[in-house]
Amino acid sequence: MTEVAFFVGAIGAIGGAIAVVAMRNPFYSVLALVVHLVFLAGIFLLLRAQFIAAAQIVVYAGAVMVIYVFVAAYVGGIEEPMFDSSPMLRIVGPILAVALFVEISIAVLGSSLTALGTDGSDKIQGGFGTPEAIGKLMLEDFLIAFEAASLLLLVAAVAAIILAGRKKAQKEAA
Amino acid sequence: MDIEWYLVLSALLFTIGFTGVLIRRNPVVILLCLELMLSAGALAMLAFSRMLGDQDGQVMVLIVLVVAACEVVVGLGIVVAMFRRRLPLDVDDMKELKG
Amino acid sequence: MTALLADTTFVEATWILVVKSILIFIVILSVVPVVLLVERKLLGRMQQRYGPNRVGPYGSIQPLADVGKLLSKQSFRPKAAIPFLYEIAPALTIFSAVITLAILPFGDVQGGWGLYGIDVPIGILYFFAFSSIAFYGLLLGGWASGSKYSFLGAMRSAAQLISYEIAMGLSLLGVVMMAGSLSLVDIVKAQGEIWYVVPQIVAFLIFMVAGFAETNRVPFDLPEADAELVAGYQTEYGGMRFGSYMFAEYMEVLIVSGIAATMFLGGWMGPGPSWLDPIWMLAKMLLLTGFFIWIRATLPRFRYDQLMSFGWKILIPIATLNVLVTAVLVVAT
Repeated sequence: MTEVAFFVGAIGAIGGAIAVVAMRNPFYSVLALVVHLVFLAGIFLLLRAQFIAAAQIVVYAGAVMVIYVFVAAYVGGIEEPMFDSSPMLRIVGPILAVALFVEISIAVLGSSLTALGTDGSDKIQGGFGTPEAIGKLMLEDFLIAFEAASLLLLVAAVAAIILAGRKKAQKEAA
Repeated sequence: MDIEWYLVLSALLFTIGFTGVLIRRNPVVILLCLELMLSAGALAMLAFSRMLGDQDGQVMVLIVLVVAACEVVVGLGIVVAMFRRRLPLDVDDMKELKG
Repeated sequence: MTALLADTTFVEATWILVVKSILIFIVILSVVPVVLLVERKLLGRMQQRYGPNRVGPYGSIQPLADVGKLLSKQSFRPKAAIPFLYEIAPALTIFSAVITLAILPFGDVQGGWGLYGIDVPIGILYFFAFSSIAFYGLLLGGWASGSKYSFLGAMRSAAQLISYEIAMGLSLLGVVMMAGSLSLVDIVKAQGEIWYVVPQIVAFLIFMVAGFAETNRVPFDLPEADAELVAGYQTEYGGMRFGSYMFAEYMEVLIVSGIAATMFLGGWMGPGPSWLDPIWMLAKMLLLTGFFIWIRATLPRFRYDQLMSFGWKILIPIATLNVLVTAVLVVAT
């Protein structure tokens, strides 16, 4: 049963990812990424990370992608023809990517970590991945990272307002 | 499912995102492909967290989500600023720092 | 089932889960036309006229007639519309409304059957996740219609949705802190002594107001108002597709009422034997839905900029203050 769920999720995620890269209209790329993120959340559930899966849909698919949708609707962007990048990049890019994939696969599959061939650790107690466990960890072991992340969010929000705000003094000559 | 499957899936998603960043010219789409790479990394972290039975990986993934959100916000702010100044939305044309 | 996806506190056999999901879906499916009819009649009475009363005794078969009319209309698609997305948009809205039914608890575990779909430890986050997905149904509907009014209405509606989502989440945080758990069944059980509507009255009001905004109901229904935007993102939809949007809206009203009843009004708790629990839950849901209808008959609608400034400048600070005060009090006692 897990295998079926995994393959459904994997095919959805890979399909979404390829659609992001291959679609000409940037709006469709955004929608494809949303589909990819939802399938990825399903795979997260298979890894017993339920809080992360829910957080990903709420934060990533529900907020970050919304920003993308608004910007893509506002800005639009060119519908680039398929092979418009410079010819060298067109060929070298995918070759580099395939090489990277082969390298990572060799590193993963050929590794001598025997735990990689199992289904995961057996030391999982009942509360693995629940909000209580993660909250406890965040507030006890990772407090500094948590506070730094909130500070980062504040900085990003202020930066966005400054970057994209209309300056009162010099309005664009409409 | 063995943990290897999740890691290979994560590698595949990462390389697809990587291809996207190299090939595409629209800055919005390049940022999207960056998101792909980040979420592939998150998947790998979760796979390892499951393998070790340790929840530290999940907390790291939360921080990665926060960082990704911030990066998107700033990146799209730059894109909107570019658009407002009537500059072409094409990373091959925006090659110089002076603007 | 436990090992497959997530930890649940109470697990039953798969066939029981399938039967339960079909049962809950059918129950709510049959309540929605009743809500539709009750709304029209209540609105009529509040406006000093009879509601529909021709079809059947006191107009009770009116929903059937409505469905029949919508089904018999031609399903068209404007030429400028994008085919696949245009058709999938109403389905997405209904999907995000229906899937939240899985966590609404209609009762505790009785006789080996839990009177709810599933009880996951991430409880209320599941509701947030899928109400964030509802945004895409709206957006796709407006954008895939290929017309300017639709797109404008969709964008307004979308901005309104995401603004009030924050207030909704913050208002529920107070309840979660008091109950000490995100799981809906635990929250209901923690309301044994006193329903949370009493200590968290501010949060209840904020949640209801945000619920109005989330479901595009009056007074926040500018994105689909007839006089302003020619029905906004629903402009180009006709026949059964329009019916699906309406259906999704009423179902969302029921679900928001259901969540409010669970988190604030004590869920299934009520005097009487335990088999009466689902009845109590349904009664509370319908009471809050009646409140939605009452407000529709009473209040005028907000202008769009008033709507946005209300959400951001008034609701979110009050909700944050509520969370702060609740946190201090929970820790101090």
